[in-house]
Parts: sequence; C-alpha cells; structure tokens
Amino acid sequence: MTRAATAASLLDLVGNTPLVELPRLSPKPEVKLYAKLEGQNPTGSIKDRVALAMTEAAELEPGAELLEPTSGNTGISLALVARLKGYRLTCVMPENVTEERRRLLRLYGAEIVESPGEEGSNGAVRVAQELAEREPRYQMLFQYANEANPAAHYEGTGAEIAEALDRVDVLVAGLGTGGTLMGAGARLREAFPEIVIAAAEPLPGDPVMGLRSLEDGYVPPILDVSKLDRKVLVSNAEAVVSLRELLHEEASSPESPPARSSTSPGSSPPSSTRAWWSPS
Amino acid sequence: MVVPAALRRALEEHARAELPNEACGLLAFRDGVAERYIPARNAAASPYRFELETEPENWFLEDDGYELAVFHSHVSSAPRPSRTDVENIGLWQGRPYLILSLGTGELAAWQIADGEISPLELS
Repeated sequence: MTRAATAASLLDLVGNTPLVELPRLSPKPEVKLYAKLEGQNPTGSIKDRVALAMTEAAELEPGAELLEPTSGNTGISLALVARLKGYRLTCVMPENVTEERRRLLRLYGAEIVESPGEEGSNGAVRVAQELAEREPRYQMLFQYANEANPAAHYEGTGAEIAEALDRVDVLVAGLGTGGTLMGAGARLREAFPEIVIAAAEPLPGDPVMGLRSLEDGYVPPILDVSKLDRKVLVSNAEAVVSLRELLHEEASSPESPPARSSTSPGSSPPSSTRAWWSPS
Repeated sequence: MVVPAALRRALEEHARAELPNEACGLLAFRDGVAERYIPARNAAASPYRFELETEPENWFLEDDGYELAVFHSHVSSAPRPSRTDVENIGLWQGRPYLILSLGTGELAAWQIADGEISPLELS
C-alpha cells in the first residue's frame, strides 16, 4: 500500500508499514521470509498503532490525564498521541530504565513515575494500578487488558499482511502484551486457516525491554495462550547474534554477497538455548 | 432514524451477552422509527467482526413494510465502521448500518457505499 505524498498529521502515518523479503536469510529457496518494518511508524515502533487505537476507542476529552505502566515504547507512542491530541500523560516505569527512554518521554511532555527496578514491568503494573485507584483524575488505558490493543493489530498489522501476501504459513512476533499475536494472529488465521502463530519470548530471567517470558509471572489479560501454536525462547545472546546475521546477510552489497554465517566461527546462535513448545 | 430507549436496552443486553464476541442482529424500522430488534447469531464468533445468521423468514419483513437495518456491537472501539466492517459490507451496502460501542455506550448509524462511510442522523 502506498502512502500519500503529504500527511496532515503524524498520526496519519501510523500503520501501513512495508513488508520486505529477506531472501538471504531463507534456509531454502522455496521458503520466503518477510519482515514487517514497524520501525517506520512515526515514533519508530509498532506501539504507535496501539496508542492511537486505545486513545481513539476511549473517546477522550481534551485535557484528559492518562496513566500507563510502560517500559518505553508504548509510553513514547502514547506521549506522541497525547501531545498531538491535547492529553496529559504520566508513565510508570522501572527506575532502572535507560536514560535515553526517560529523555525521549520528557521531550514529548510525559511525566514519569518510577517503580522498583527489581520488580521489573510487573512492578510498574502494580504501581500504576495503585495510583489509578488513589487518583480518580487518571485514566489508565492499560495496554495489557485493553481490547483496542489486539483490535489495532487485527485491523492494521494483520490485515496489511493478509492484503500483501497470497500465502502465510507462519507468523512470528515478540510476546509483550500479546496484542500483536492475538490480533494479527486472528486476522491471519481467518485468511490462512493452517497458519502457525509463534510467540518469541526472552529466556526466563533474560531482560529484554518490552518483551516478557510468561514464566516471570504476569500473564496479560488480553493474551489467550491457547491461540498460540508455538513458543520460541530466545536468549539475549541469540538476539544479538541474529541481529548481526540479519544486517550482515540482508544489508550488504548484491555484487559481493557475504559469506554464509555457518562458515564464520562463533556467529551461529548457540542452538542449546533454543526451545520450541507446542501444545500436545 | 429513531431507536427508542427500550430497544437500545435490548441492543446493549445482547451486546453484553455475546462478550467477548461482537453481537449482531436486525432492526426493523417503520417510518424511520425502530419497532423491533431481532437478535441474530454471529457465525464468526469473533471480537473483531461479525457474520450475521438469522432465520430466513426475517428477511421477508421488508414485504410487511419494514425497512431493515443491520446492527452489531464493537467490544471496545468507537461506534464507527472499522476497516473490516467496510470490507465486509456485502448486501448492506447503502443500507442503514448501526453500531453500538460497549466501550463508550454510544449507538451510531451509518451508511456504507463504495467504500465511503456517511453518518446517518440517529435519535
């Protein structure tokens, strides 16, 4: 889908992100891999879809005060939407979040409330819920339980993929709130009933901003685990190595294709940390 | 178009009863006033879209002088036709199309034709 030459607002540029084929990463010619470039949303993440959908569903009045537990991307997205629509935003996040994230949020005009670092994002959820109960002026859209979250992916992410491709056998998405997997998964399963929906989770205990392992405790209300066909556990090391492989393979000159990663010692992800789960 | 309070309550009750999925049904209007609500079955059983299934005889209400409108609920989003609603308009193209948002409690009426959405006045 092409975009218009100009947009009246940054919010008009949310979604309709490109799909790019990754031919060099494909293990076999008949297997086609595609990446959906959600970094091309206005704030650089898929959460722009969710922030816009949640605020539109809430039909907020100008001046509304929003509160959200967020590790960063959702806060940044909500901060943009809040600034453009005239709302105020307070983000609750662990005290050990990077300074870069804090600066970006403050740049967009958001306030920050800290939660205990050792409790991670679970602690941010707890503190936000307590604050919302104590202070009725706050409206917590709460991405973890807000149906507008998966709906944004049903209507957007999933619909865009279904429109672009004649066939999809597997969808792999990171598991954070579960919105992408539930919403895009549902839309793609309607178009391609045999599709496998696979969740990529960090290894328990391996901290990855914005993603979670269900083993670490909190299961988002919008997540229905029975709708997942596979779970892939990914270590931090694998994520870094795979990113390097992606850049090395897909971001090099076509005149001088790179050596295959299997010939480079130490560049293959340690297979012992991969884990596959499927329901019996 | 007028939807009396009693019928609005019926729409809300049906919408809540069908959670987590969208509810759907037919509204029978006469001279712009809704006289009957016929709850239907959402064959899609989805929180994102509906496929209306109803008894065949209900389609003949128009022979009795009624104008039929389709109704469905949105689980949380605004009472405005979604991309999916527009894509799936089918035989309801150009006909009254009512949506209730369980998120805001608002009922709204539209007409969808050739991909264009037009609001209809509703009281």
